Amino acid sequence: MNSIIKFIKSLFFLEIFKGLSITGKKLYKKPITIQYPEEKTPQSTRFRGLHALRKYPNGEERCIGCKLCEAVCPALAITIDTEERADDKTRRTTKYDIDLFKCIYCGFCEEACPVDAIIETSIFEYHFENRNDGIMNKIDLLKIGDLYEQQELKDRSANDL
Amino acid sequence: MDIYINNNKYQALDDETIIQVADRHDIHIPRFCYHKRLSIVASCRMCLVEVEGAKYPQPACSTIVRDGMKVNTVGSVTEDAQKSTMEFLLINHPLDCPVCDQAGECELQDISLDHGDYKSNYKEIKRTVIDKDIGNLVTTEMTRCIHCSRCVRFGEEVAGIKELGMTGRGEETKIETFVNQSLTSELSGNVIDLCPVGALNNNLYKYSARTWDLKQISSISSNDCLGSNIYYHTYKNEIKRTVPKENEQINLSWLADSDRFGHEGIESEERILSPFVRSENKLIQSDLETLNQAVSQKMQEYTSSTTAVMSAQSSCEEMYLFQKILRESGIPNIDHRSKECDFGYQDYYPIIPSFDIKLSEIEFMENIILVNVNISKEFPILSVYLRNAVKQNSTNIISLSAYEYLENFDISHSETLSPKELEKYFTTTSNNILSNINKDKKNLIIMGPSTTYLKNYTNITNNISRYAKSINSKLSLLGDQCNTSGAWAMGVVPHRLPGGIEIAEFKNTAYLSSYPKNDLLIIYNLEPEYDFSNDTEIIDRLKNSKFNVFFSSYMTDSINKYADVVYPLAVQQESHGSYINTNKQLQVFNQVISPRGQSKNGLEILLGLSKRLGINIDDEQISKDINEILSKMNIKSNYILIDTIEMTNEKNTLEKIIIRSSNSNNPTLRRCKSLLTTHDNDDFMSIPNSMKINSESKITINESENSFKIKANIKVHDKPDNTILVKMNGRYAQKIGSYNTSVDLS
Ligand code: SF4
Ligand code: SF4
Ligand code: SF4
Ligand code: FES
Repeated sequence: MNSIIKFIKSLFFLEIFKGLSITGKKLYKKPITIQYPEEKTPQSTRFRGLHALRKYPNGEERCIGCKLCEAVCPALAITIDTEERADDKTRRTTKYDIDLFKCIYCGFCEEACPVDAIIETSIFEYHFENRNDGIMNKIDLLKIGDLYEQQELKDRSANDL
Repeated sequence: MDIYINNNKYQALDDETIIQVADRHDIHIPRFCYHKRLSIVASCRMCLVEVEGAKYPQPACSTIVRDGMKVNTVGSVTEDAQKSTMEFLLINHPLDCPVCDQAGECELQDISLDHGDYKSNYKEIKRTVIDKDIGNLVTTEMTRCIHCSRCVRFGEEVAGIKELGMTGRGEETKIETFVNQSLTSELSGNVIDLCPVGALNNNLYKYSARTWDLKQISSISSNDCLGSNIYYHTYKNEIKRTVPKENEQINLSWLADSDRFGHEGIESEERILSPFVRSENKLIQSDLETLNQAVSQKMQEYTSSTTAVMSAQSSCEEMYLFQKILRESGIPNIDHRSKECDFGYQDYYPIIPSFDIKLSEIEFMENIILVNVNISKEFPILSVYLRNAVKQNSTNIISLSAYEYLENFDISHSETLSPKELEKYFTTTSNNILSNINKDKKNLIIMGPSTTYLKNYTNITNNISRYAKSINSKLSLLGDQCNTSGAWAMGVVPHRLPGGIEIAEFKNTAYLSSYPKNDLLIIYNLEPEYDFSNDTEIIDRLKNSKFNVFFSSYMTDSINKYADVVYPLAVQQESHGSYINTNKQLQVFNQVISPRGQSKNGLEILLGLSKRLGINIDDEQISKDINEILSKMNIKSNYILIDTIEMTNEKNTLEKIIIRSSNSNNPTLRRCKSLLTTHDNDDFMSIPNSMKINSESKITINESENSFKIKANIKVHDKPDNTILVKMNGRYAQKIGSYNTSVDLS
């Protein structure tokens, strides 16, 4: 019985009119999409984008090689080697790699860091042309840290409620 | 008696403390100052537990159980006490876990997490303490110290050297070395394990990994014949540190420094990383196939003029296969006793030299005679047992050595004797201290490995054995290397097959003496400069022989100069196998890291060579054979009783005596920089008082045809007369040649 009614209904193309009515309604409303890349959506100050390693104002790197970020990372994206730095006998990294292809941008590393060294900046527009470029090393990360320090401070103050 | 812990009934012995009962039944009580092998001070108060009927919580580590005692390790009274103690301990403890090497295995962290409070009422300034420099092995971070005094008690009670002490009171309490010395004990590394926090750290491990990254692999020490059980901690295929694996029969909870820091040499730049062959007077890289071909051809060519010397640090498997390959190729001249020069004893030697009693029985001995051995330097773990014997049962210890050794236990009588005097000492006992020894007592004679280096070893060992028999004493023969017992059992001697089966035709043959000249020399894991009784002689032989085969992990000058082929041998940590320790136990060790470069496990190399020679054997067959040999072996006592013997006749030449240094006793140890920079490796030569030579004099040493001029770092000694004493493996030892020889100083 049901199938017979369904068959008769289908002869009148009711679904098409239903769909078209939504299209018609949206046609006269303000669109919610934007013209990327000319236009951009507003970004949260807590956005978790590309990683960076920060320095202290005196130029000393913050990271003390505690490996907590490495331990907490659920994607095993971070690889660190450490040693005792010869001149001041402090604990420092000799290698700090993040594999961005593994990273899931969860932000756990940032949360685990006791000295706010590793952060996830607001950068989200980047690409790689080689597979190997997806692995950021310590030099890259410190460079991004230098470039984005001011932005980071601004974002942080916005977060301090 | 019965006591109740958390309302459950447990059996307890008289005189036990609450913590002992709890530990036996796996009931957790937090503690800092208590350690099962140290005395009880009850100073940290972390172990407070509620004892029903008592007004205040009681320290579980020092409270003796009573029948029917009711203890609560949980509940509000205990927990409150734990929380307050924890808060006090954390007042001055810095919050530097992120850079602290102890983090992740720190007792303070764990207990704070389990029993502490998340907040602290302390807002004032924390104290800081300046770090001490206590040597190359242990680094300090004294601000982290919680004054549990475990390290201090270890020094006093176990190591026997009061090195660390506590000064000041209250806030001012500090752990310090006395007058800024560095640690000198051969057991000093143990304070690293004992320290519950990160105040005392392993210098080699410093900042190089984190505890949660480490992989733990159990192994056996390759540095002395006791065969301490150890764990290697590795990270990314590198050994980061070594810690003890508890073994109640051997090393208890301790580890000698040479074991703890002895892995440093593995990464030495001198490692041989690929096979080499000589071509146009230079060693060039090659492959194993080429080497095997060359070697097998030479072995067939020079059957009757080949000498093969193997290190007693090799595993039983390597030894068994090595001797099998050689013997099946018709080469009988195989030995491991590269450091010896007197072989007259060999036909009377026990099948497996051993300690003869269990280490735990040392405690019950009444008289112990040490012959030519410095227990606390050469066998630090053994010194723990001897010290215990002296402390518990006031064992009477007599030391008869060529040098005035310092020991960390009390010696009731010591005498410095030259080898000739030593020989006579045991035959003329009526006018020396030995006359006091009663044959009805429990007696033990321990002969040190450096006795075997002596030129009159046969006479000494015969006289000592006779004497030992006459006083019903046990005789312990300590091996020079970790597998010396194995070398005897596996037949790495010319006159015996595996299992100690005598070969009649090779009676009285020793590896060098029987062949005035060699055409083929095979040297397995020994370094001509350091490992031979007479380095000048072996180097001469290398020069004159037609073909020299080396199996070695490290390059030395003489290998570079004289080797025709060099097999790259993996070090012990990179291979697997088994050792027989001085208690005749077969102990298996695992591969810990993969071999560096193209170096290979000795067993694998030898299997390759045996295949080339057409000898059919594999891994499994070897283990099977070894087990069979060991099960069939007929072990007799250690007495070495020789029927006819001539006393060494008097000659007025100087005798050279080697002072054995356990920190440079095998190739890997020789390359451990931090061990070599400890004070124990001061190199010196000591000559008799009568020679009137000061430290500025230049000395010429004439030994047989060789003459050397050296400016020695000289010490002067009174006794024994007519001897010069040289530190093993030092610069002088290398120059002067034979370990025990007659030298003319001019
Ligand atoms: S954001 Fe998450 S996944 Fe990415 S590196 Fe950090 S912890 Fe790892
Ligand atoms: S980035 Fe932070 S968490 Fe990671 S190792 Fe450095 S200090 Fe430690
Ligand atoms: S240094 Fe370590 S072992 Fe020694 S008293 Fe301090 S915390 Fe205890
Ligand atoms: S463990 Fe009992 S007081 Fe320290």
